[in-house]
Amino acid sequence: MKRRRFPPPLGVGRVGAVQSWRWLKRLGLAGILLVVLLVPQLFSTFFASTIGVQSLVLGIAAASIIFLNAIVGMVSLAQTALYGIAAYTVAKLAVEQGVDPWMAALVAVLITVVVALMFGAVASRSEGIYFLMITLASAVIAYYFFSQVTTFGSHEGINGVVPPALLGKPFVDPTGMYYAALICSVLIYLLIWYLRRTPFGYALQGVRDEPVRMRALGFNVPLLRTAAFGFGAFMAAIAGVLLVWYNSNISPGAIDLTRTIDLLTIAVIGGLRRLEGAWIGALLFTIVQTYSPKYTDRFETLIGLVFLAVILASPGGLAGILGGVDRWVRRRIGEVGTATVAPGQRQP
Amino acid sequence: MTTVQAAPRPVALRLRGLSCHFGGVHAVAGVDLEVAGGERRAILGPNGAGKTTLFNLISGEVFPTAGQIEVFGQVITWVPSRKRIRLGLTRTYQTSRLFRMLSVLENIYLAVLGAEGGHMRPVRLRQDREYRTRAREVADRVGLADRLDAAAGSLSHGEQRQLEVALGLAGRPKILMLDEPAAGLSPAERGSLTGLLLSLDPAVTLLVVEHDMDVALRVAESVTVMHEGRIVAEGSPADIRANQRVHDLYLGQPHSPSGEGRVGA
Repeated sequence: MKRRRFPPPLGVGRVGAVQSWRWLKRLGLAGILLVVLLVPQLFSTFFASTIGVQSLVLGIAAASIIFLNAIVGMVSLAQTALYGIAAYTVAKLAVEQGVDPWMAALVAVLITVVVALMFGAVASRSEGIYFLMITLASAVIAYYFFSQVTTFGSHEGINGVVPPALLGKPFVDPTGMYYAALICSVLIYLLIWYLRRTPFGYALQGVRDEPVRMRALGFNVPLLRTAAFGFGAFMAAIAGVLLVWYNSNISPGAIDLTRTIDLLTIAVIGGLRRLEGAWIGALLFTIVQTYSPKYTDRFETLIGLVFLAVILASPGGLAGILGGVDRWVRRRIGEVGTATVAPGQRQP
Repeated sequence: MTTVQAAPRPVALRLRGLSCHFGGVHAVAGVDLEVAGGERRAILGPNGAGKTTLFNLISGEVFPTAGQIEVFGQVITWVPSRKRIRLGLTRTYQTSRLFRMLSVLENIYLAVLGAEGGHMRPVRLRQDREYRTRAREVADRVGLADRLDAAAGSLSHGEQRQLEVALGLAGRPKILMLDEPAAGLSPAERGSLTGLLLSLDPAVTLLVVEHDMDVALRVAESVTVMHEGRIVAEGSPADIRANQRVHDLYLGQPHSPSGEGRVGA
């Protein structure tokens, strides 16, 4: 967002408040970034691994859903299938062919993107609920494919995947894995931040708002949708590669319908309209998933209640709640936001 | 303007036997139409006369059941919608189709980008700044210069209609089709819209579907009246005002002779 010095409209006191609130936000953000940066040093190995790495990786996967929804207006349930393709490719190449892990990762991402582009070329001609159903079907097909084809280990999946030496052994010392996931998350976030301000990014947002008009204005809407789906697959593929390195195995259970729904839950809890919501949602989901067994066996019920509570409080998820608090305070202190565009905020 | 009236103007748009059926509904039934380059043509007709379908056929959003569309001598009947802007064909919509979550400037920028091409480019280049400058100029022309940062979805109805026209203008059209640009505008807003349309480059061919007679008859040099998918009358605004059939069909009552002074209800 463009930062502007506001001309003081309502006297010194209010300007002071505006400035303080801005500094408070900056401090808060800096504090959060500092903690995120120092997770392996500040927290236990268990926390850094189970909560830290997992929520970053799930965050990347959920971010691919949010990117497609918030910027292109496509709700995809195929993202688990896509990260499954990447994870299986890495596992197959690394374990059975002895390919270098980095090379395997590169090939896996490429294959996933190519598959997604072919799928997208067909599916991108449909919109809304129809697109959603096609992606759901593809998720189910991918699950049955990997659970029944014996070269991919059927129900067992493929075990013994070793991450690159640089990243260490995730369960002994998650530091390397954590920073790999963090760097990927930050790069993806920045990439999308940049992308949405390019001609391609604007075109995608145009497709989200008015595909009919986009066609009349001379844009190739199916091509734009397909390319966006391919980019979403690129993000999902990175999540898949990190996932298989972290778990050291991949099995159909990691890409079944439950996981598809989990990922969508994460995206909705975090906020389908803002990218940062992906990681916020993933963090909450992972915390509930990890610590709830101490108190109850009913994880699904619990996360369902969390889901309900969040979307009842704010359709924009947790990210929407944070944005709402910010707007509320700014209104209170007189830094009135007129109806300028808040990035990613849908007007009611 | 010193246009040479003697030289015949080239035909910008020619429709031959154009028909479009939706099931049993003959929305457009055998329309023959010729519009000269630089002509200002109004298309009138009661609701359901097939005016908007005619526009959808010309802009390529709907394909015809029969007939042919020519633009500057080139047959474009089956050319996809998105390629028609390259021929200089732009349009606006009866109900605003704006990019609601983008700002006014970004809306117009997209219209410029669409006409210029290169929208798969995932990097920002110098020409994007130039496109934005062009977008600002267009916003200035339609009177949205002080609303550049406002989200299109947050604009008032009148401003949304102005932005509609801006999106049509941004592609530097040779043929500009406006679908009821004055719909729902206040008298003052209608006045400034009329002014804007009158100030258009004389080379631009203008097709206006309009219910508001003041705007239509002031802007147009010729008028086509449609009814039930067919053309029932064609002529100068004065002819149309005098045409009894048109009165019965559409105007309902005799128009005041001066015409222009009337302010719609």
